[in-house]
Amino acid sequence: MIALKIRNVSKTFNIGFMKNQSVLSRIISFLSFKTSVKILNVLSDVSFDVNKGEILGLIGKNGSGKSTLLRIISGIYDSDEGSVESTGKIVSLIGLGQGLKDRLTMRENIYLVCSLFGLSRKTVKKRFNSIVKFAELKDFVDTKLFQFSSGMVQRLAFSIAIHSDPEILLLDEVFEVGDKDFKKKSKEKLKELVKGGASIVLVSHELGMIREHCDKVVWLKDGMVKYQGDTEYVLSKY
Amino acid sequence: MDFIAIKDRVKSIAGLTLSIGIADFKLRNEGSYLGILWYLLNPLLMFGFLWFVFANILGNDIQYYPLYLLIGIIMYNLFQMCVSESMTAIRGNGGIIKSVNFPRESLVTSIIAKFFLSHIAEYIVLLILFFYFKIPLSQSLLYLIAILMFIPVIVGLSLIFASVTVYFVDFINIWDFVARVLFFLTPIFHQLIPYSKLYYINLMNPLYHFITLARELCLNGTMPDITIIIGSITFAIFTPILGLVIFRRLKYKFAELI
Repeated sequence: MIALKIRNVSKTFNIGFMKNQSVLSRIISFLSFKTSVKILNVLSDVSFDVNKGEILGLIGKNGSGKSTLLRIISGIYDSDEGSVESTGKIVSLIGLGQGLKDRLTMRENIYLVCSLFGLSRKTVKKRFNSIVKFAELKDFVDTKLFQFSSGMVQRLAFSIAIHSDPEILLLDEVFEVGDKDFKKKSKEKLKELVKGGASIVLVSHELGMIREHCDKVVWLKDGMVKYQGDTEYVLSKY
Repeated sequence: MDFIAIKDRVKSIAGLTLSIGIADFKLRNEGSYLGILWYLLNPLLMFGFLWFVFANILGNDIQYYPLYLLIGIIMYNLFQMCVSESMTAIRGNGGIIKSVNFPRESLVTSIIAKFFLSHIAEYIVLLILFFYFKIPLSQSLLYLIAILMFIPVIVGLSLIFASVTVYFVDFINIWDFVARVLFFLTPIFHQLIPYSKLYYINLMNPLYHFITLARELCLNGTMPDITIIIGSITFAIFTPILGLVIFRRLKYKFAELI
């Protein structure tokens, strides 16, 4: 059964817009007949499916469109063309560390981010201890986040995401930081989620990790699908 | 969108409004000794200053001038604070907006919830003045009608300003000027002469309608002029609709532009 259906998705960005964000510059552009439009094609005609209980690896160099694609899937960006159909709750972990508030404590951040993922305060209260335990941050519940290391922040973000009832989990380079034991534990948790019927799209530069966990792989190059299919086949071409 | 979807959406926005509002409130008062008193201090200092300056000039013509003045100041303050802070609601939350898909409206509604809470403290000060002037406290409760009609207008305008600022960054500077003009244009510390030029300009000013509505209900215990009633109802219905329409049209590009 298909959990995520991506069809002919294309996306362009106008990277010249920054010059045109003030009222005065818009008037000048209008009067001088010069517009600062620079179009960048980020994704072109991308199509693939992810089945229920499947892990799909998304690989490609920096700037190939992986994060943009994840943002389109999660509804953060709109695609210019094509469609994204999903059958369950999407939880995204795309640079989530940036979403956490440095000046708030871990407790406050857990309540805030869980509510962004659609959990009620009552549910967060019930899962609070489990989130803290999984992140192995029991002694830092009332510590402000600016005092955390990047590894601790990532552990917290990952723990919040997996406790938010994901049916489709989008992970963007989440295992690039963090210690070995936590990575191992997280991978086990992912397997458990997949066993329960969740689908995962995993972006990573660690090919060993992709080989070990992914059922199939999509290789993006310059915003287009270069190869897709069986993990070993795509990795042999990469 | 069917009824259940709308109900879920409203519930989700309400839950998020609470969570983001609490987080913002804590961030704003971090390391502050006076905490919520800061919210009170600004309008009260303004009230004290204007009363000192204008009590003798205008106070003789206006009954209960201190109450007249305080109602004007706290309603203007609520409006100005909500709209001003909403202008950075989207731009200031780029990290979260680019990471998670959630109802963006809640970033604006949480600001209004936060300032509404501090408005309750201002209302308590108002109640003390009601007590001092021996005006029946039942009359002061009528203030809630005016403020509950005013909140949807603030929500609508805040949504418009929050979304437009993403596209035009210098809108904040324009708003600074407009807010200052509004303070002098609206009869906050002065009284309008009926059918004057200023009166006709104020008919388009939502602040004028709601401040007058509150004063008539609370200070005189009478229904205001039909123009004020029609104006208040019109603004209360159409501003939030317009705000939602504009916000929903513009929000799809937020994550790309910030």
